[in-house]
Amino acid sequence: MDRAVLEVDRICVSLGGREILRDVSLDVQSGEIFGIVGGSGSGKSVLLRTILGLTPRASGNIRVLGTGIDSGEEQWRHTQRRMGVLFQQGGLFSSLSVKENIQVPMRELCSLPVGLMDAMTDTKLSMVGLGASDASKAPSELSGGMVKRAALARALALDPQIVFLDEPTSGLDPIASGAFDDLILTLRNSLGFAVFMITHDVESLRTVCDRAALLAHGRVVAIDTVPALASSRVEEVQSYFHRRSKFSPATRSIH
Amino acid sequence: MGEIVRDDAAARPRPGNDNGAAQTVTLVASGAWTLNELPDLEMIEAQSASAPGRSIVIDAAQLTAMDTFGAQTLVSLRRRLRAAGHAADIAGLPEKHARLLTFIGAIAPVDPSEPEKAYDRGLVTRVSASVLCGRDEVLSLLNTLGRLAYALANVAVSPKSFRVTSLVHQLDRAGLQAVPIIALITLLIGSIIAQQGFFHFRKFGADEYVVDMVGILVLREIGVLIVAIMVAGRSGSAYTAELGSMKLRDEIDSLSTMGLDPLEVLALPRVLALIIALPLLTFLGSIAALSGGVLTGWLYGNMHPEVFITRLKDAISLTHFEVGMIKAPFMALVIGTVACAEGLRASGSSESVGRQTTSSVVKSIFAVIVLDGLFAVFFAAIGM
Ligand SMILES: Nc1ncnc2c1ncn2[C@@H]1O[C@H](COP(=O)(O)OP(=O)(O)OP(=O)(O)O)[C@@H](O)[C@H]1O
Ligand SMILES: [Mg+2]
Repeated sequence: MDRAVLEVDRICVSLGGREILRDVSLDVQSGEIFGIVGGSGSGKSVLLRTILGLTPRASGNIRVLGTGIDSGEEQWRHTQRRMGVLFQQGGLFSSLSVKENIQVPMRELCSLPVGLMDAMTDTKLSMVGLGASDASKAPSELSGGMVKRAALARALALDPQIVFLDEPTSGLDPIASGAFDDLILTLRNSLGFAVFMITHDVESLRTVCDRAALLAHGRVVAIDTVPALASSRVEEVQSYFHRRSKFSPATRSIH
Repeated sequence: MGEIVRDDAAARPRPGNDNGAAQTVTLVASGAWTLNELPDLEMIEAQSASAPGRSIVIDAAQLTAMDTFGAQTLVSLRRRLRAAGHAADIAGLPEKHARLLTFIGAIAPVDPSEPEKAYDRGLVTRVSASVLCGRDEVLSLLNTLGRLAYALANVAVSPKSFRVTSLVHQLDRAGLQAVPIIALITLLIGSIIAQQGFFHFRKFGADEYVVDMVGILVLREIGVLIVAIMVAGRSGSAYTAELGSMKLRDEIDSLSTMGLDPLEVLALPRVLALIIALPLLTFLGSIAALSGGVLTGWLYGNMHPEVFITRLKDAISLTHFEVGMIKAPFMALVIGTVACAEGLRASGSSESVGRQTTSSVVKSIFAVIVLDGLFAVFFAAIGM
């Protein structure tokens, strides 16, 4: 249980001549659900994209499942097959049906008999709470919540050891997002994967995450277990957890 | 209507104080300071102009209404006065307006030392910038070409991984579905060239040379050029728009994170489909253009089709046909590569997909014409 599946060591990222991330370090242990919170534009998505190798970094090291991100294309690809990613917009292939989407990783990365692939597709769909009737739908025919579920099913297609989620519950109603949280918890408990999730939802952070890091202006301000963060004395953490706005005009006086 | 006037009664020098600099000037703001009734800004300028170092009070007690625009105007006025060295203050504002004013006043003004991106740049700057950009674009194109070659080599090593279904699908879209429109357009172009030939050559009694002109022009140049330009506008733009919107919707990133190469999965079948389809379409287009010539000769030029075709057999040789056909796959490679490279460069907004699509079509047509020129030089050099 105490094995790091993700190690991020002092990474710096600059985009468009601006430093977006500075000296970000964190680690995720096997079987753990790790949350990333922070204001809009604090660099959460950039951090995720950097970890996935989609955004180049200026310095620092990243290891996923024990493999360094620049330890050769072949090896990194091998590691990628043991990761699942749910992008903020789902990233379902719009020209393929839900079922075909889930089968893309199975088809491309392994050679499975068709019967088994079909059976596994149904299993994954019901795991995320979608019915068999949704399998033949196109992504454009799904609601926002269903897109997230279908994308999760695809991310879980090959039983990954670590799952990356970018704002899985944004744009969902409170009941749907509560259900999504339950789903992640249940799946984690039964399948034992680690989760790295970005969220804006303090409620969902409290329910599902074991530990979390708060990002502000491209730096990790605090990193701890969720209850410890909630009772932290650090100003940024407090204002994040207790929704205190730093900008309250009524307290200023006329000059 | 909002107003602001200088209260001269209050501006009288205070007794025992004849030092002008210490005078207090009062500007009385009145009426409604709202979006459609903002006071004349020039009036404000005129009212507030005075020697620096004065203390100026803007008396706002008579304001009847104020919205964010009014508040912004007041705040800007105060800022300007302070910047000019006055001690400026706003006084007497009713409570609810005061709150709005504080809110607006707390928002820091845009720092003028950080100039906004200039959109309306001069022609010279734009041209030089695009020339500089040109180098990067050529590099990025070469990069895509290299990665495509790598993907092709991968497929050659393990042919099982090649996406035949995708290739067939793209061939259908870029090739088969393009047949009617390409046949129609090339037929028309062939007819027009022949019509012009008959019209002008007739003056010299050189009717039969029209056949030579149409035959050679169509087979060597017009056939392949028109078809390539049509394919760039039809299929190239579609490729760019597809890949661009896939990029925006994280679909490309999803592929990469699954350990798949987007170029191999998406671009290779598309480029190969073009390389196969364009020569076939060129052949078809050339035939259609020649038929257009025959048709015009018959209906307009008083030349019987049999005469036209007999003359055509003498006028053209296999070389002319080869010159046109050899160019086709190279043009297809350029169109496909530009289209895919541009599509993958889309980012941010759907506007960028439109921009990349435009630039893909413009660049590939430009590249096709440049390539045609290079081929012309080459064929002249080897005597074809
Ligand atoms: N491709 C890019 N080029 C330049 N700057 C970028 C790019 N992508 C992101 N940024 C900048 O990086 C900063 C962090 O962006 P990021 O998308 O990581 O924010 P975020 O924390 O995910 O916010 P949100 O919660 O709103 O999704 C922003 O200021 C953004 O302007
Ligand atoms: Mg984000």
